[in-house]
Amino acid sequence: METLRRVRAERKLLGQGGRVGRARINWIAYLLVAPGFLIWMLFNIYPMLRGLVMAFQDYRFLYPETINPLHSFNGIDNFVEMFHDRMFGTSLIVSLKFTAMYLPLSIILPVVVASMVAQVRSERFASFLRVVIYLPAILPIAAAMLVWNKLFDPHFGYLNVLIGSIIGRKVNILWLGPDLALPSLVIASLWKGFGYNTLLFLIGIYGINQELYDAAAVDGCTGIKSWWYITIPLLKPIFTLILVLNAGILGVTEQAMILTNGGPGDRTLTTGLYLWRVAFLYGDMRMGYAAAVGLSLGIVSMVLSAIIFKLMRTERA
Amino acid sequence: MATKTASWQWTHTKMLLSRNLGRWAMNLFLIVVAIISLLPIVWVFVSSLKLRQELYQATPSLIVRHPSLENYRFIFKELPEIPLMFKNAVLLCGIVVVGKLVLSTFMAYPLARMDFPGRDAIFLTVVLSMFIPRAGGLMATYELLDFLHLRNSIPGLAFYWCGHLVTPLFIMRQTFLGIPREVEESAYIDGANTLQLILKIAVPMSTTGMVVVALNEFVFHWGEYLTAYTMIDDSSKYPIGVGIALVRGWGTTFTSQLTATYGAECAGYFACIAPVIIVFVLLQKWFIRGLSEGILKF
Repeated sequence: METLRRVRAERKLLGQGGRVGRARINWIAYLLVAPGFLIWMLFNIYPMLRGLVMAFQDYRFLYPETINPLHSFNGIDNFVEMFHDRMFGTSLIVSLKFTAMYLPLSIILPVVVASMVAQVRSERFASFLRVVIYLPAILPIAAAMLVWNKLFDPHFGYLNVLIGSIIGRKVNILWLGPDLALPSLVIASLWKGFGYNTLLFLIGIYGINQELYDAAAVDGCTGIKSWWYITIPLLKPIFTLILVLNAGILGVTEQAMILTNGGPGDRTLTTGLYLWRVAFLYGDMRMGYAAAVGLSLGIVSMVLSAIIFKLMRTERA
Repeated sequence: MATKTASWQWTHTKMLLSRNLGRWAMNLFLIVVAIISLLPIVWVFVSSLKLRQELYQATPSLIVRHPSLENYRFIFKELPEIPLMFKNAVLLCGIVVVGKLVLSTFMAYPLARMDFPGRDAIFLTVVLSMFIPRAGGLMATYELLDFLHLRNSIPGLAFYWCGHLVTPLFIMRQTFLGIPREVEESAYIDGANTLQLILKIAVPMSTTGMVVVALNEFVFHWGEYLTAYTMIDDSSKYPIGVGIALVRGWGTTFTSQLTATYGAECAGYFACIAPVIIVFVLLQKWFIRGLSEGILKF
C-alpha cells in the first residue's frame, strides 16, 4: 500500500499522472497556470498583434471612427509615406549614428573591464568593483539622465571643471551643443548601460573552468593570449545574449527624451522619439503611422542583428 | 656558472616586476572605472547639500563648505507633488511586486512540478516571446488600457505590469526545480493536496527566488519611465521615476532666498535615486544572483 501511494505521489509530482495512470487531465494545473497565462496574453500577445494590424491602418487615436481596421485599412500607404517623410529620414540617420557609436562600445568596454575584474586577487576589491560598476544600471533612468544633463552644463556642470583640472587649463565645451549632443547622449547611455553588460560578462568569465587555463598554460599560452583564445571564444553565448538584448537599441527613446529632448534642433531626434511624438504628441495622435515606423524599425534592427550574427559566426569558424 | 645564475635571477625579477606592473596598471584602470561610475552620483549628492551662495560660485567643486539639508526640506515641504509622487511609486512597486510574485508562483509551480498536456509549450511560448520585437506595442497598449479604463491610474498601470511575467516566472520555476522532490512526495503521501503542497512546502522553501524577484521588480519599476509617462496624464499621478523630470521645468517658477533651483533639483534627483541605492548596497548579492539565475539561464 505504501509503495502504491508512493508511486502515485511520484507520478503526480514527476509528471506521469495524466498519461501512464488513468487518462485523467490534471485540471488543477491548468487552473493554477490560467490567471498568469491569461493576463500575460492580454498584455503581451494582444498588443503585439494589434500593433502589427495598426501599421496598415490610417489610425488616428483622436478620431475614434478610425479604430476599426476594416474601415481605416490603407494598405502600405504608411510605409510609402515614410519614404517622403524627411523627419523620419533624419531621425533614422540619428538612430543609426547612435547605434554605431553605442553598440560596439557597450560590448567592448564591458568585456575588457569584466576580464580585468576577474583578475583582481583581493576578493574585497572585486566585490567593491562589482557593486560600484553595477550601480548606475539600476538607477531610475530619468534621474540618471537628468544628473548627466546637469553634469554637461557648460557653466555649472562638473564635467568641464574636471577636464579642466586634468589638462590644467580652463575648457568650455558645449556638451549639449549641436556638434556634441549625440556623442554626449552616447556617453550618458553608456554610463547607464555599461554595468549590466559588464556583470553579464563577469558571470560568464567566473563560469569558465579554470582547468582550461591551466592546460593552456602548459602549452605556453598565458596572459593576453589565453584571454584571446580561451576567454573570448567561451564568452560567445554572452555576446549573443547582449546582442539580442540590445536589438532594440535602434529605437532608443528614453535617453534622448530626457537628456536632450531631441535637441538642439533635431540633432538627437532618434526614430524612437520621433515615433513617440507622432503617436502621442503631434496633432491627431497618428498611431497607425507610428506603428508602421515602429515595424520598419524592428525589421531594420532584425536585419542588422542578422548581419552581425553572420559576421561573428564566420569570424569564429 | 655564477654569471648564469645571476642572469637567470635578473630575468626572473624582471618577469615578476613586469607582471606586477601589469597588475598595478590594471588595478589603477579599474579604480578609474569605479570613479567614473560613482562620480555623477557623488556629485549630485554634494550639490544637493549646497545653498545658493555656494552653488553659483565661479567653479563647481566636489567640496561642500556649508552643508545644509535646506534643499531637501524645500522639495518635500514646498513642492506638494513630490511626496505624492513618492507615494505613487511605492504604491506602483508594491502592487507590481506582490502581483507578480503571486501570479508567477502559482504559474511556475505546475510548470516545474506537474504534468499536463501543453506544459512545455506554454513555458516556451512565454519565454521566447521575450525575443520578439514589439513594434507598435506601446500604441496598442495605450489603446487597450484606454479601452479597459486602466489608463491614467496607478493601479491600472500596475495591473498592466503584472502581465509581464517572463523573468519572475523563469526564476520561480528554476527555484521550484531546485527543491528536492522527496520533500513534496512525503507531504503528498501524508495527504497534502496541491494547494497545500504549494503554500506549505514549495513557497517556504523558495524564499530565495522570491527575494530575487521582488528586488529586481522593485528596482525596475521604481525607475521605469517610458510606459508610465505615456500612460499617465496627470502629473499628480506620476510615480517619482517619471515625475522627477518635472522638477527641472518647475525650476523657473520657484525661487527662495536660501535655495537655488539647481540645488533643489539635485536634491530631488538624489532623493529619487537614494531608495534604489540603499536597497542595492544592502542586498547586492541578490541582484547578482538574479542576473545569473534569470537572464543567463535562458
